[in-house]
Amino acid sequence: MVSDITIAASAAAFTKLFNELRDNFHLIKSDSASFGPFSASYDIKLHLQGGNLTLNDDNTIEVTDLEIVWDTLTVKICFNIPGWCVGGFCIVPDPWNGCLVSFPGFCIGGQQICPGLDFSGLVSEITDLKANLNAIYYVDPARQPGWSDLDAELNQHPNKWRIFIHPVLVNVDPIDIPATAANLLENAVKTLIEDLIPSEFRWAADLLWAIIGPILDFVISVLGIVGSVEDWLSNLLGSTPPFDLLELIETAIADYFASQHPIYEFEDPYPVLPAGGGLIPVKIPIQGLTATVNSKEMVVLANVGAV
Amino acid sequence: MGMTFDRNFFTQIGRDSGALTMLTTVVHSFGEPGEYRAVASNGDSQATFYISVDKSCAVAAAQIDLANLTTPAADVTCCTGQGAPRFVVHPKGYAVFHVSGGSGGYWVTARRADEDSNIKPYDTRELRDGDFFSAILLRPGTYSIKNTLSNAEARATVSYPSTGPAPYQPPEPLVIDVTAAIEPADIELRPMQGLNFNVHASARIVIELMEPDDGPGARA
Repeated sequence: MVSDITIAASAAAFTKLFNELRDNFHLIKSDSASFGPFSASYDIKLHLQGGNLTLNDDNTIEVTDLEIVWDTLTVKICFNIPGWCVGGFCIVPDPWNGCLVSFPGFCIGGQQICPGLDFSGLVSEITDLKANLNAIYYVDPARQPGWSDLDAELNQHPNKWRIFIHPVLVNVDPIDIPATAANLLENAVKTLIEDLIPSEFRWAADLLWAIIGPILDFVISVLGIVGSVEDWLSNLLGSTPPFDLLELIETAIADYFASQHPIYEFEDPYPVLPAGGGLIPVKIPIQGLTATVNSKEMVVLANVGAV
Repeated sequence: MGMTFDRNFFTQIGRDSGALTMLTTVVHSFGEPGEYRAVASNGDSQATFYISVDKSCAVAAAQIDLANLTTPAADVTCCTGQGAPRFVVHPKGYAVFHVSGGSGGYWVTARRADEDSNIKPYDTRELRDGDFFSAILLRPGTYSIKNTLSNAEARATVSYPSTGPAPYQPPEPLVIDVTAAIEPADIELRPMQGLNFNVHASARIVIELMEPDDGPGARA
């Protein structure tokens, strides 16, 4: 059956439309959670850039090498410094066995510290985004029930046909936390612990460092890090609940393209001639709109409905 | 053990058996069974408490926290009965006077409730044969150790801490004998290492920093 209306947009034009859509995508989110021996929180703000778009003859759109730019990616990890105990040694030994009187011990520490890490500026990749097109009829919720199509247009609440990119696959690469993360964490912890001791007691800080031992070993032990710090952080943020940022981003991108921002939209009824000379505008109702792609273009087909 | 980041750890450098602070302890055995009325003071505040030295009690060490005793509305859970706190210990056991927090500076006097008032009460400012005074030095440097009642002297050096491949653990405490002299007279210590003074003569041990060691950076 031949359609009344056929509109095509070249691959280049479609790419332009997609790029505009891509550039308007932003995600801002904060969250925190407890992980037993420590708690963590993050702040993120990201946008998309780059990407190579291909239209395929199987009615799919594929975008490769789309980049996620982390305008903000900060992480804070809070944990208690364990107590370092002094005393506890024996003063009066038991003549038979053990100790009769010990020095009452004290533990220094127990304070919570929250080292912060800033990875803003990092770039991740969406290796693959596959989608097709989905045309959805949109009734403006602000349109009053008694309005005619003309009333709706005059009040700027017309119904529309909207064409969405409907992702069927979004594959975000793990967050590539740099290998310097271990150094950043070590320095952040060191600064915070030094802040606990007034600067005039340099010797006390040095004593504390001696008791703690190698700082990175200490942090790794407190946080229960297995493997490298960067992999641990990438995992903590990216691919494990409750944060699971990769899943969050995939869902946000899918929602953004599939239901929030159409790549193109047509007013219904479609204006053919504007109002003028005392006459009302000429508009034709559109029915059965479909949108597909092939390797050369996007094709929109529709029929003229009953007036 | 309590958990603290008490500033006094770093500001109180010297030690005095007659003015107990967090890193000092006096251990005394009353020996004779009976009821002892004791007073803990630091010049600003004082508290009365009782020590029952009782053969039927198996307690070898009665832990007496002087800071807790002199803190108003303190939760003193050491004792039974009402009124002043009461501690119970075996005649061959020990009263352990210590300070769990704050600036300290405490001394304790104790006398038997039924004792002849002409008999001198026990006073931690004048340690007796059989007492123990234990102290921990944190700040690196050279210290003088004096028995202010006999003018016997010794010297202690606390080395500067260094970070090694493993967390630092202080060595076992050193035992110092206090007789007419303080022996050994030259003591090498590592930070946080305990000093146990076994007292065999009338003594008040005062430890004072003579020369601080501010580390390799300051020495360069």
